[in-house]
Amino acid sequence: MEPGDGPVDEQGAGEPQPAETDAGNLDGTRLGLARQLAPALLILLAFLVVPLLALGRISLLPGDTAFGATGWSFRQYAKVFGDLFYLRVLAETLGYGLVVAGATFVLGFPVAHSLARMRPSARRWRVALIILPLTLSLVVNVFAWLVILGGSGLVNGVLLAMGLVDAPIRLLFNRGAVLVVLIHTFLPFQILSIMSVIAQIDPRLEEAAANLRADRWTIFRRVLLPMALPGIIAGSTLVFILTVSAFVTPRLIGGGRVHMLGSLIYEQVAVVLNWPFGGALSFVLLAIVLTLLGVASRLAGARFFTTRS
Amino acid sequence: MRRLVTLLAAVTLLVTCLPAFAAKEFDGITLNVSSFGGGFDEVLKATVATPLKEKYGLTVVYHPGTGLQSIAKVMAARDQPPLDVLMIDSPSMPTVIEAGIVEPITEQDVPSLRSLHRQGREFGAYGAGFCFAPLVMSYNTQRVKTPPAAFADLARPEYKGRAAMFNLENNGGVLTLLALAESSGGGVNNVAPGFAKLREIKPNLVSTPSAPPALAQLFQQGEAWVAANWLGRVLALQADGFPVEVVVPREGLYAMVTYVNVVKNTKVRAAALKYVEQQISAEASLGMAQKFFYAPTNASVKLPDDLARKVLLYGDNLTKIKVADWAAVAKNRGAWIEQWNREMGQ
Amino acid sequence: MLGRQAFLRAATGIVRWCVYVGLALPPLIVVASSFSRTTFLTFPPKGFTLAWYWRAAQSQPFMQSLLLSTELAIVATVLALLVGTPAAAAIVRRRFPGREAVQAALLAPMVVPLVVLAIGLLQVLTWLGLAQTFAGLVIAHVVLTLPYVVRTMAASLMLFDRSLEEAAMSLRARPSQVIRRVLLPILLPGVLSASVFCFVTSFGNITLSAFLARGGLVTLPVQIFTYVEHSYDPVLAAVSTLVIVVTLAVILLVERLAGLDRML
Repeated sequence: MEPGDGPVDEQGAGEPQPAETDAGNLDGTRLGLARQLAPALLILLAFLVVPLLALGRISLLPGDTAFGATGWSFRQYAKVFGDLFYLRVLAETLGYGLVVAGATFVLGFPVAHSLARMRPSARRWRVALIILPLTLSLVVNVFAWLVILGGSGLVNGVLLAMGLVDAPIRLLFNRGAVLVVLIHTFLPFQILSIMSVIAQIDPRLEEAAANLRADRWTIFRRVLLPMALPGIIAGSTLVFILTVSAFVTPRLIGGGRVHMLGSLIYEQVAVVLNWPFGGALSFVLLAIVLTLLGVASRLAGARFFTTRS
Repeated sequence: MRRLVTLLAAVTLLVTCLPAFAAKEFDGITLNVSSFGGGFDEVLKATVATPLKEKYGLTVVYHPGTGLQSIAKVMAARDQPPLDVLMIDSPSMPTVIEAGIVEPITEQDVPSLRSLHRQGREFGAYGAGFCFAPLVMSYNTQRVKTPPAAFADLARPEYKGRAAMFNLENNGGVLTLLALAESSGGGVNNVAPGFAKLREIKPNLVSTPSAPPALAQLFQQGEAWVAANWLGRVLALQADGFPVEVVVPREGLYAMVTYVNVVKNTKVRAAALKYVEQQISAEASLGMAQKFFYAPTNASVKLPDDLARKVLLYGDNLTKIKVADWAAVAKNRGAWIEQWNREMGQ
Repeated sequence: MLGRQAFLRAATGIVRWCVYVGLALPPLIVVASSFSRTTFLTFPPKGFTLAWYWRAAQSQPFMQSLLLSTELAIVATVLALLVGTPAAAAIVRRRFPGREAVQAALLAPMVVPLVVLAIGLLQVLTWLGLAQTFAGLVIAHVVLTLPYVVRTMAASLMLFDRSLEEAAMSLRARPSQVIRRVLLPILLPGVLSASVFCFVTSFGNITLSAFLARGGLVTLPVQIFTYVEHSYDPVLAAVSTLVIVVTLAVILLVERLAGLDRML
C-alpha cells in the first residue's frame, strides 16, 4: 500500500471528520475516547494546570513579591496594559514571531519538498545535517555566531575580501542578528513539519499537474500548498510559539538592546524575583498566543475550502 | 540466612560499642552544598571536601547552579531542604535572610569566625564570607592607546563601539551603576546620576552581557577593548595569555563577598557547621586565591607577595574596599532593571 | 514560461544549498574549535590536539550527565509518543464538546515560559516527593515534549486517508491489526518527525533540568552551562561534538529501524 492511494479525503485536511458510529470504524470500537485522551490530560492536569493555577494566583497578588503575600488585585495586569513600554515589547515580540515563521517557511519549503521526494538513503544524511544545529548547547551556539557575524568573523571576512566594504561592519548585537539566529534555530522545526506532510502527498499528483503543463509555481500554489497546509500551519505555529517564548537568544545575541517578552519574564521571575508581575506577563503572552493559534486553525480550515475550486 | 543476619547484627553491635573501633564523627553522613560548578567546584573539592572526608569521614556533595537556582530549590521545599549549606553572594543574602531559610552562625558554633575581617560579615550573625570579589576596569593593551582610569571613562569617545559592561542581572552591572551614581553625588537610593552617566556610555557599548564568560568572549574575539569586569575574570584572561591589564577605578574598589550559610531545618547541622569552618580556613582561602585570585576574608591567612598584589583586597588595601547596602539594592533592583530596559533598548 | 521555470528551479536550488550551508556552519565551527591547542575557545583553531576530548571523556561529571541526558530524552520521547498519539487521534478524528479547549490544553506547555513552568513543577513535584528524582525529570520532560507529538501527529492524521482503514476492516482485520499494519506504517514519517523534535528538545533543555537537578542528576546542557561560569576552554567544544555524535547515532538508528519496518 502506498501512502496517498485512493481518493483524498473529501472533507478536507482542515476539518476533522465526525466519528462514525458504524461498528466497522476504528474509533468506535475498543478505543474509547476517554482512553485516548485520559493519560495525556491527566499528566497535563497535574503537571501543567496546577502549576499554572498557582502562577495565576500569584499574578493576582498586589505586591512585588510572592513570598508570604496575600490579597487580590489586578494591579499587575494594569501595569502590563497601562505601560507603553510593555505593550511595545509585546507587539515587537509578536512581530518577530510572524517574521521568523514566514522566513522559515520561505526558506524551509524548498528543502522540505526535496527531502520528502528523496530516496531514504539520500535523505538520511541530509536530515541529520538539519538536526545538527539543534544539538548545540546555547553557549557554544553563541560562540559560533560570534565567529560568523563578528567583526573579525566569517561574513565580514568575505565582504572585505570581495571589496564590498572598507571596514568590518557591526552585524551582531542588534535586531537583525537576533532575527537571523532565531530563523536559523527554528528552521529545522519548520522543515521537518512540512517534510512529513509532503511525504504523504502522492507525487503522481505533481507529475500529473506537470503533464498538464503547469509550471512549478502553479503546482506549488494549486497542488502542494493546499494539501500540505496542515503541516505548514503546524510548522509555522510551532516556530511562532518558539520564537515568542525565546529568551536566551535575544539576551545573548541582542547585546542588551533587543527586548523580547520572554527575556523580560525571565528577568522578573528569576532575577528581580517579582513573581506577581512575571506571572501577569506570562499569562498575557499565553492568552494572546492561544488566541492567535485558534484563529490560525480556523483560517486553515476556511482557506482550504476557498482554494479547493 | 537467619544465621548470617544474626552474625552481622552481633558484629555491628560489637563494632559500635567498642570505642577502639569508633567511627569518625560524621561517617556515613552526606552534606549537600550548593556551588557554582566547573573549576570552582574542583577547588572546593580539593580544599574543603577532601580534608573534611579525611578528618571527619564526612561526604560532601556539590550541587552546581546559579545562586538564584539554589535559593529557589530551598524555598520550594523549606521544611525538607534539599541543601544543607547554601553558597551565595552578598546581593542574595538579604533575600534569604528575609525569607527565613538560613540560620545565624555564632562564634561559638564556628570559632574561626573570629579571624574574619569585618567586611566578611556584612550581615550580622548571618553567613560566613569566605572570599572577596572586587570589580575593576580592564583594557586590551594592544588595542587601547590611552588606558581608562575609571568606570566613567567608558564614555570616552575614543572607545566608541568597543566598550562593554555587565547588565543589571549581573551584580557587576549593579556595582558599576552604583559606582557611577555615588561618584556623581548620588547613592543607592538615588541612582539618577548613575543613569545619566550610563546615557553617555551607551553609544560606546558593544554589548551588555549578563554572564562573565560572555564578556570574556567579547574580549577574546576583539569585539570589546575596554570593560568593567570582575578582577578574578580579568586575571584569568591574563593567565590565558591574553593582553589585558587591570586598572583600579577612580570610583573605588567595589566588591561583593561569597558566603556560606547553614540552611534552616537541615538535619545535619553539626556537619554543616564543620563545613563552614573548613571553608573559611586558611587552606581553602589559599586555594581560592591561587586559582581564582579571590582575596580571603580570613585575616589570619598569609599570601605570598606577588599573589597579595594581584588580589588587591589584601592587608592594608582592604580599607579601600567599597561595600554596597545590599538590602537597599535588593529593594531597588526591580525599579533599576525596568529603567535600564527602557533606556538601553534599541 | 520556460524562463520562469528555469528561474524558479535555480532559485529554489540556491535557497536549498544556502539553507544546508547555513545550518551546517555553526556545528562545523564548534567541531573545528574542539581541536585547538589554546586554552580558550577560538576559531580558526590554533594547532591541533585531541587533549580536550581526552579531558571530556575522563571528566566524570560530563560523562555522567551525557548518559543521563540520553536516557532521559529516550524515555521522555517514548512516553510522549505513547500518550500523545492517541490524544492527537482523538482531536483530529472525533468531534466532542470542548475539543478546541482540549487542543489548546495539549499545546499549552509550549507556550508557557519555561522558567514559569520550572518553578511551578518544582513545587508540585516537591509535594509529591518526586523533586530531584529521575521520575520527576521524566515527568517534566514529557510535559515539555507532549505538544510536539500532538502537533505533528495531528497534522499527519489529518491527511490520513480513512478509506484505507475502512477497507482493511471490511476485510475483517482486527483493530489492532489495522493500527499495526495500515495506520502506523503510513504515519511513520510523522512519528519520526515527532521523535526527533522530542529527543532534541528534551536533550537540549536547560531551564527545567536546572531547577529539577541535584548532585548526581545533572543533565548535560546544565553541566555545560555551569562549567562555563568558570572555565571557557575547548572542552566545551569537545563535549558539544560528542553530543552531536550521540544525537546523530540515535537519529540514524531510528531511521534505519523505521526503514527496515517499511520493507517488512
